Amino acid sequence: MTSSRAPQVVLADDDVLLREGIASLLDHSGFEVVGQAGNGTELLALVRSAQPELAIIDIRMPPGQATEGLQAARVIREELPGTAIIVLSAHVEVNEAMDLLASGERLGYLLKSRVTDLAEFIDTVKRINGGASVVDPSLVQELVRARRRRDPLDALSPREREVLALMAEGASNAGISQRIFVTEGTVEKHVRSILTKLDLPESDTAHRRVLAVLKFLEER
Amino acid sequence: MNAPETGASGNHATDARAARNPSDHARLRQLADQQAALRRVATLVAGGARPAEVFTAIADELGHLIGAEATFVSRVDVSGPSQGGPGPPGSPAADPSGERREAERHMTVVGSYGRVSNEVPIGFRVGLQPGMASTAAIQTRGSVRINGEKLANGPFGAIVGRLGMCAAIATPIVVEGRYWGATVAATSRADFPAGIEARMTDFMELAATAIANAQADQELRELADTQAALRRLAMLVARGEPPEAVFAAATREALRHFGNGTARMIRYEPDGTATLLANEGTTGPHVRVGKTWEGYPPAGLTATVLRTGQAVRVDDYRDVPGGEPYLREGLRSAVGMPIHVNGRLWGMIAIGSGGGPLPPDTEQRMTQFTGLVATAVANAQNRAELMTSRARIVAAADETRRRIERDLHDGTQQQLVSLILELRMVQAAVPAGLGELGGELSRLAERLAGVSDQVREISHGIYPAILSSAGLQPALHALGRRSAVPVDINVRIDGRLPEPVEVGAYYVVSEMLTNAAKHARASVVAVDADASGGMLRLRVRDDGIGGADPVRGSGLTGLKDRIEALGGNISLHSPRGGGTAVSCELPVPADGRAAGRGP
Repeated sequence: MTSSRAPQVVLADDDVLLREGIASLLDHSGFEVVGQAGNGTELLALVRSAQPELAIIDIRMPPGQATEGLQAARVIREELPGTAIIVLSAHVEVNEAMDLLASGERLGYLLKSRVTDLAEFIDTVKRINGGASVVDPSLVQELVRARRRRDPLDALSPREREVLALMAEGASNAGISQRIFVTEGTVEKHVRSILTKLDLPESDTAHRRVLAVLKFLEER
Repeated sequence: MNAPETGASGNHATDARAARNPSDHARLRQLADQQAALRRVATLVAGGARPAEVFTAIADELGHLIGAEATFVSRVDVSGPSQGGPGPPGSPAADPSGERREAERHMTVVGSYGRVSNEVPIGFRVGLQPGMASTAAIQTRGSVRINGEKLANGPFGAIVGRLGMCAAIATPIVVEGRYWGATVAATSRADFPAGIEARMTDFMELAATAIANAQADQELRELADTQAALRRLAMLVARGEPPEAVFAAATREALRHFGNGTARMIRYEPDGTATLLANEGTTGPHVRVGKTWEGYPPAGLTATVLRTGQAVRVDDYRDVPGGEPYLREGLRSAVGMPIHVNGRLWGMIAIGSGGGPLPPDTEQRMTQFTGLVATAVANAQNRAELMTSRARIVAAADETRRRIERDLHDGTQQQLVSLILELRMVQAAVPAGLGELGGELSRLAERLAGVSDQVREISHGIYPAILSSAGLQPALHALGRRSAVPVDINVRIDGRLPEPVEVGAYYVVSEMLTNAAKHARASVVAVDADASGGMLRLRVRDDGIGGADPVRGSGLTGLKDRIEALGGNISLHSPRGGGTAVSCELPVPADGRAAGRGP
């Protein structure tokens, strides 16, 4: 990291081993883990007192082992909307993703196993902390691959489909150009073509673009 | 039917006398008249006339033959256990112990002719008392003549007086070797001519065959009727009609076959109360179907059947303290039959009549019927228990799947992720000089990641977490997205449904999508789900090759079991070349439970 101060992070997961592992990874990657919580209540107390830049939250926590992490995320969004939030889940569902994204920017919704791709995970955390919204690629793949009878995606070229998926994952045009090895100008052309073919409006922020593309993919 | 020769050969002495007698012609005419009378009776029997008609015809013909103005035919019977009713003083009408009294002999008028018909109608029943001509005839096994003072002062003195009868002759009736009953003939003349007894005996000997035939015919018909009723009941049970419908039908049949005004079914509850399950016929403010049966007298049917577990009768509610409500609704007598289910006294079926005591063989005739009612009740009960136990088994299986999914999810998978993370961090810390070690660790981490993905897939297959977290609608959409065949989903469900219903519906759609992709070669599947009015209706149809066999497809059989366990139904329509469609209806219980009702 080149910034003067390491971004502060609060972690919430009831599995201590995994939590310590992620904390250690973050501490070694330019973040400062300022607190760890084992449930939603502890997490809220920590966030209120430490006011970190970022909260990384396991979706399933005591007492109900259901969606306590989602509820905590909602409370944080209301009380401290400036906090970036990453929700980790053992499985990803589109309705949860849409719910979360609707609550505002700087948001991540990822499969828990993503933490094991160290470099990519850290890169994603940094992007979210820096303003991006990110949706797990496996969820986007599920949405893109879903078979439809009269599929509007049939109008897209294979390259355009690839770009659309990356848009849904929350990649910026620069990010997309790096991923598919083309110039940013080419990416921009693809994006404009996709929006026209799918009759989607131009979005003024990256977050809105993710929301619009996801919504389209889900409802097509 | 007996031929005229039989009559002739049975009366050699009479014929011989007639041949020598100056009034030979009169004798021959009497014989001819007798044969004609018997032929008329036999014709009635052959035509399937009811016993009452046959017996009345016999009384009628006898009256004409011997010039009696009043005749009646009565059957003697041994009454069953009796409760209340008319009888000699000190008899159990008011016997508070409710014990069985000694069996008594009664006679019941089964056919009557002439002026006597109003006084002793068909169904008139009386104990065989000393001094009665019929009693003497049966005891002595021969004809008995009573006249003058003896008749006027006898047990029927009042009736005899009103009718103006002066002499009566009773003749025993022997049917198939048994003293079956007696016939009585009376006249207002000073007396019958001498020798009339012999003619009565002759006629009744021959008429006995007609009685036997009419009786056998009647028994057969009753048996067939009862069998038909039993078959109707058995079908109701087999069709899985709700217990209430079975109770009502059984009570209706009881009234039709045995009752003469009212039939009722009462269930004894474990807490000592009784419930009126069904009522047919007369009614009153105390008759509230489905409610507790209250205020019944301690010597009445309900209390006595409960106490003794045996058939009980009331011959006259005027003799039963507390019997007024039944009198008010128009009942006079009743019989209660216990219903034993699985060795336990379950309830009672009772029939009532506004007339005199119910026929003495009522209990015996009802035994088979109540036996079948008991079977029907046991079947309905067993079916209800089977339903709840099936629902419990399905719920338990679902719960187990959920627990396994949780254990995999929160335990195994979490630990795998934790391990891979650690491995990756170790790998990252390996100094560059250690050659292949970093690569080895990386390959290990990748293999573990593969295992982790597999565990995730398996746990999703065991129980889709989205179903419990988000409900049926999102879960169906997720199924549709993962389907290899395009799916059009149209779901109209507000909010959440009870979990067993959601899970059942989910598996129906899941199985159909699998079938569409694997076997049906379908290009599209339509899923419609609609929850309203306490019912979830589900329809899944594809445009594939059809011909799905629910017997061979174990998946479809499993679905049927699951849906039926929830009280729902599912039907498959899969004509060859015409696609496959499944329609399914699942009741959505208001209290959130989906289980079979108790009986």
